[in-house]
Parts: sequence; structure tokens; C-alpha cells
Amino acid sequence: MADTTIRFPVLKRLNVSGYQLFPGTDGTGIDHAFERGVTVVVGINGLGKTTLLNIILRSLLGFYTPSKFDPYDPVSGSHKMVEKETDYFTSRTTNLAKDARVDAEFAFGSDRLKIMRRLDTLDIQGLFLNGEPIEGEQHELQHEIVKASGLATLYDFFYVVRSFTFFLEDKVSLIWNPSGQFEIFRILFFDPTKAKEFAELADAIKRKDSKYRNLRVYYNKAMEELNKTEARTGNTSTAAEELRLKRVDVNTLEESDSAIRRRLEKALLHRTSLLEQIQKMRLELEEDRRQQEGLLDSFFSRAFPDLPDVVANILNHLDGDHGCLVCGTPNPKRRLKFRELANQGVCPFCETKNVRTEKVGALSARADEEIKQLDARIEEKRKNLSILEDGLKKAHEQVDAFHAERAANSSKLLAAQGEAERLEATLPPSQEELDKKRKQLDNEGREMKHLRLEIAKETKRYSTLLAEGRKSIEKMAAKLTKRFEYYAGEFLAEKCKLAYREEKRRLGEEGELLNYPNFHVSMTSAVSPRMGTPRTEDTQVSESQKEFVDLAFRMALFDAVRQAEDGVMLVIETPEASLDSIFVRKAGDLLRKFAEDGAGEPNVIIASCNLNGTGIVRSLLGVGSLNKRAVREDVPKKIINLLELAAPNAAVRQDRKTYQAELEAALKK
Amino acid sequence: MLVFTTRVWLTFLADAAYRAGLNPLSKRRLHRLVFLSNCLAPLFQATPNTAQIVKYKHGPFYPLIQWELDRLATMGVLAISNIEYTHDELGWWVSADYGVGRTMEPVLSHCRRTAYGQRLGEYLTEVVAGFASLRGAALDEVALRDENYDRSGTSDDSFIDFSNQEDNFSLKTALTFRTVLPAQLVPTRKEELFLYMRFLEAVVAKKAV
Repeated sequence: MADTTIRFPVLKRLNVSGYQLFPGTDGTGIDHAFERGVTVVVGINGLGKTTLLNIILRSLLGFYTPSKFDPYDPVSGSHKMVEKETDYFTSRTTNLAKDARVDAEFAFGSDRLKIMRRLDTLDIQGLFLNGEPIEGEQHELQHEIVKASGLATLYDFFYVVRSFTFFLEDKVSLIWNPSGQFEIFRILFFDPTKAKEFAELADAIKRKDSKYRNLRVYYNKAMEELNKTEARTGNTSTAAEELRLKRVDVNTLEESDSAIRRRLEKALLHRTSLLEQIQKMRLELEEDRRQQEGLLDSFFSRAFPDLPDVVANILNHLDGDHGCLVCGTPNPKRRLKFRELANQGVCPFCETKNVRTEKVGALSARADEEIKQLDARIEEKRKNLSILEDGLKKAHEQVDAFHAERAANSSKLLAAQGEAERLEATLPPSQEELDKKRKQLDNEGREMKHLRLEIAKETKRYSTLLAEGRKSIEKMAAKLTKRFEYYAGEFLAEKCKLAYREEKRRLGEEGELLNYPNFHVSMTSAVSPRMGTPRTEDTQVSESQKEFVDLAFRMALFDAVRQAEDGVMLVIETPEASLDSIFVRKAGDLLRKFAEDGAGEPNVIIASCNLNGTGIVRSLLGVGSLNKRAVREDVPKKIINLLELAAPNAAVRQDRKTYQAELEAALKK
Repeated sequence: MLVFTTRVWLTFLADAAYRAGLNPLSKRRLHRLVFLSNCLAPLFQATPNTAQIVKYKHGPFYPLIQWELDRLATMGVLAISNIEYTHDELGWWVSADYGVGRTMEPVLSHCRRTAYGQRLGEYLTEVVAGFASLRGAALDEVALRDENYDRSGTSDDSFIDFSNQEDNFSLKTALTFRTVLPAQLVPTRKEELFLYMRFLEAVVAKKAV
């Protein structure tokens, strides 16, 4: 048995305020004082029964949760606790649970701990031990709660509360779950310091076991490759020579690429320069032509003012040496002829003479001279432009040729580089590289060996602690089995006992096979009415038996651990869920028996129930065995009626009277 | 081939201008629109008709384009009107207006049957729509304030080459808007084009003050 006394939390008073889900009868929320015995949270689906139980749970645990936790196999997880933000309470509201809080007062043995939390963040707002405030950071305050329980770590407190005190909807069993059963034994029966060391050792061994296995996979593969490589080192001279030659090829091709690139850049510059010259030349030519057209005074436009613009434009282009707009010839043969016709005032279409009008006079001698000079300039520029355009054509061809040459060279270069890489891969690394690799693997081999040694050393210590713990468990086994028989007998017609045995399990994937203490159920049956047969799995009993055998085990465990003067608490979600009608009464009797037992601090059982006609509410409250006065005065103190306290959902709004009548019928004497 | 591409480009441009209420287009405005559409073509994954230009005293002007415009007018694809020869301190200049010609529609129908024609038509419609949405006073000025045309260090006769996208400052500016908009606002390429036109309009307005 643990040297330090473990005190289980027992809820004395709960106040939930400012939370939209539970406005209460007058908007002040829920305020309930818990008395000895069973308190029933009554409601229907969707009214917040689970939420209310979770508020009680989280008032103790806050936002802490294990970093890795499987309630069905807690030993496989980690004992490290982390802060985890949750929107569990905020998501159920439209105001993100702003101003919502829970004040919960718990008894831990004779101590009273009042915990005040915000529901949105679960931060502790106030903590009072026996009326005295405790100050500190959030983690320090949480530690004070753990301290009140006498447990060694936050994880242990979490596990005791989450998996032992609370029996929530997921109904994770302890008796049918060897891993969970041993975890609770470790926490309750090991010396607290050693329980902590034991859990830390388990985490460390599993971590190292995993690291060792990962390292081994890598080491074995790398070692195999290294051995193969070393075996190849004998005959490498031909491949090395081939590689040397290929590298020469690569260098040559790289040089070629560089040379082609330089030539290409030069060709591009030349082409751009030609483009610039051509564009400027075209502009100059355009200007000269416009000047020429201006000097010619656009003869045809003036001589035949009624010509459509398009025709005048064609004639002016011919006249001004621009080219033929009809066929696109830039330098038409008949342009001089047109010029002559224009000068003589002859119609260019029918060659009728003397079409001159007063609007059209002969060109002045000065203008004529200028036109002749312009003609020469235009002709000169036209020739130059033609030369430049030929040059540009060649420049384009040259650029294209260099691009093609570079592409071909690049393709050869890529092939040569690929071939060189392939050859390089076939060659073994240098002796220096091999030595380096060997050294690295040797280091890893040493690390693996070191890990094995550490694992062995830690496993030895773990086994020692396990042996010590086993003794403590064996010491209380008689009490545990006796109390179990007592509670199981209240519920089951068959004889049901606890049997001790050891269960073999490995620590980590490849750890040592160790014997863990374990209790299983032995039960008589129709075919074996005298000798109980072992029931090691929950599938070997009925649904009703499964849940209540587990509850009997928890009750027995409480009795085995708690101090006589201490109270305990069990929180059970919808116990009626798996019960047929015959067992409902028995379940009520069993739970009341446990809750009302003891002369010291009262026990409290909180059970949430649906109003579904099973009679569980009546049974849990023991209405049948109470007198009228007790039913009238005492029973209401043991009900948290969510039909009145919770925000009504559609079903309540619609059928409130029916539900209320059902509750009244359940409480009717 | 380039000749035909140029003609298709000009035909779509004149058609888009007609649809945007800018018919007829003056020769000066038409050349400036060609220039802007060349600068922003990569925004719509289009290849510019030409990505080089000489900075000219009359603003963006392409002699080859002019020749093709007159050819199209002769063919009846475009309609030419108001030809006028003028002379001032900058020398001789021929002004003319270009509009929709009688044979434009069958030519465009033919072009739109090709994927290239369809894409080009869509792009040039957007350019002209963006251009036409500007204030009337800014229409003939924006090309002069374009990021390629008005790039620092250039003067008349400077040769501007934006054939590499790295050197296309108009495009780079148009693509910059997405970096200054709120993260949830990713502009479409059409919005980028419009934003760039608005940006040029603002630059014109600022210079006028």
C-alpha cells in the first residue's frame, strides 16, 4: 500500500453560472449542494447531461490532458501531460461561453478545496483550501489540486479521476482492461515516488526501444551496403578510366557551350543593332516620302478633289514614291510615268491632256529641284534599307543557327553528364570515404549497444519496482476480492469472484516479457453452477453484467484504498443504458448501498439519467423504500432537474408536460 | 507571315475601337493603340506584333504598320477618310482617319474561326475597352507616359526594345498591382490591364498639373 494517503475528490457543491446551456430557473444558473448518497442528473437527450458531468470533470483537471492517451490501453501511451485548448464548452454556446464559470467545492478527505474556473479557457480564477486562498500561476494552482489528492503526478490524478472516479459514456472498463487495471494499481498501490519513477521508466524504455529499432533498421541496411561496396573495390581501374574520359568530354562540351553562348550573345546584339538601324531608316524614309508628297503638293488630290479618299491615297502613294497600294509593290515601275503625267496635267487613267484647273499649277523650279534631291535621297535610303534588311535576314538566320547549335551541344552535354554520374555511381567511394562511413556505422553500433544496455538497466530497475508493487497488490488482494464478492453479490444471482493471476506483457515492441499483476472475474453459470469459470473478456458476460461487474470492481477498489473516515465519489453516465428492466432495481440498490455506506465523510454518487421509462431514476433514489415525508423533503435535494435548469431544446418546448409528468410519476410514493 | 499577323492585329483593333465608340481612329491614336497593345500583350500570353520601337517626335509610330493600314484601306477592310497633308516645325505629316471598311466583317469572321484569331480578338477587345474607358483628354497622352515609352534615360530617337519580359516595364508595372492589393484580392489579367490604364491616366493627370 502507498505510504502517502490517497484522498479521492468528492463533490460537495457545484455552481455553474453565466453559461447559456444552463440558465437555471431564474437565470442564475445551477447551484447544487451534494448530500450523502445518490444524486441524479435528470434530463432527456440534448439537454446537457454529458456537458454537466464534463464540467465537473474539467473543474478538477482544467485543460490538461496526456500527450498520448488511449483509455483502452493507457500503458501504451505517454505519462507526459500537456495543455490542450478545447472548444468543448464554448462551441455549445452562441457567446463563446463568455462570463461562464464553474465554482466547485470538493472534499479530499477532511480537506475542502474550492476551485473556480472560467468555462471558456478553463483557467483557474480562484482556489481555496479550507477557506484560505492559494495564489500562483495556473500550473502551480493545478499542482495544488493534485497535492490535495496525495497522488504523485498530474497524470496519475488525471487517470484516477478520468478512468476510475468517472465512468462516462465510453464506459472504459477496468476489470476487463488489463492495461488499465494495472495502471490504476500502479497509481493506488505503489509508493507514490516509486509509482512516478515506474511510469517515467516505462516511458523512457518504450522511447529507447522505439529508437533502438529505428536505428537498427538503418544500421543493418547501411552495413549491408557498405559490405557490398567494399567487396566491389577490387576491380575498378577500367571504370575509373572510363569516368576520367567522360569527365574530359563533359569539360569539352561545357567549353563549347560557353563559346556558342558568347557567339549567340554577339549575334543577338548585332541583330538588335540592325533592327534599330532599320527602324530608324524606315522612319527617315517615311519622313522623306512625306516631304516629297508635300512638295508634289498632292497633285492628284487637288486635280481630282472628288476622288474617293482611298483612290486619292493610292495615287498619292504612286506619285510620292511610296509604292503601289493595290498590289503592294514597294517600288513600282510606273511611278516615274505617274509623276510625269502629274507634272503635265494628264489624267492617269485615260491620259486626257490639259486637265489642269486653276487649283493646280506647275511646280516651281525650286520645288522641282528639291524633289529631285529627295528622289536621290530616297533612292539611296531605299538601297541602304534593302542592304540592312538583307543583313537582318542573315542575322536572324545566324541567331537561329546558334540556337540550334547550342541546343545540340546542350543535349550532348546532358547525356555526357548523365553518363559521368552513372559511372561515378558504379565506382566505389574512395578508401577515405569508406573509412568515414565505417566509422559512422561503428558509432551507430555503439549507440545501439548503449541503448540496449540502458534498456536492460532500466528494465531491471522497472522489474524491481514491479516486484515491490506486486507485493503491495498481493497484500490488499484479500480485501479487494472480499469487497468485490460483496458488491457483485448484490447485483448478480450467479456467484462472482475475483481471481488473481499474472499477465505477461512486453514493455515496448521488443522489451522483456514481464509479469503484471491482474485480477479477472470468475463466475458460475447455468452449465457450471458450482465452479466459477474465468471470464477474462467482456464478451464472456452479458451487457448488464459487464458494466456492473466493473462498477463492483471499482467500489471494491475504493474500499481497499480509502481511509475509513474518507468519502469517495463515483460519477456514472446513464447507468441504465445497458440494463434490462429486471436489473434496473438491482442497479439502484447496489449504487445506493455503496453511496450510503460508511460512517465518516459521506460518499457521493452522481448518475445522469434519461427520462425514458426504465424506472432508473426511481430506483437510484430509492423512492420505493422511503416514506412520504422523505420523498417530499429529501428526494428533491438529490435531483438536478435539467428540464427546469437547462435551456429548453425543441423536444422540451414541445413535450415539457409529458416529461415532467414522467418525472413526477417516478417520484410518486 | 508577319504581314498577315500585322493585318489581323490592325483589323481586330479597328473593330474593337468601333465597338468601343472610338470610330474612326485617327492615324496618331491608332499607332499609339498598337504600341500599348504590343507592350501589354504578354499579360494575355499573346506575342507582341513587334517589341521594338524608335522613340519618335510624333509619338509611337510604325512605318510598316502605316503601310499595312493603307493597304487594308485599299482592300476595303478599313475605311480611310480625311487625308490631310500638314507642315509645321516638326516637318511634314499626313493625317487620316481609319474606320470600319465594307469587307472587314467577312475577314474577321474568317479570323475568328482560328484559335489564334479568337485569342487575339479577345485580347485586343480588352485593350481597347480599357483605353476607351479613360478620360477623353488622356486618350492620346497615355502612350507617351507608358512605362516602356517613357522609361528613364530615353529621348527622341532612342531605340526601345522590350522583347525580353525582364525589359518590359509596362508589363512589370501591370503585374505589380497584385502585390499591393489585399491578400484576398487577386486581380484577373483583365483587371491588371485596366489598373495599368488607370495608372497611366493618373500619371498624365499628374504631369498636366
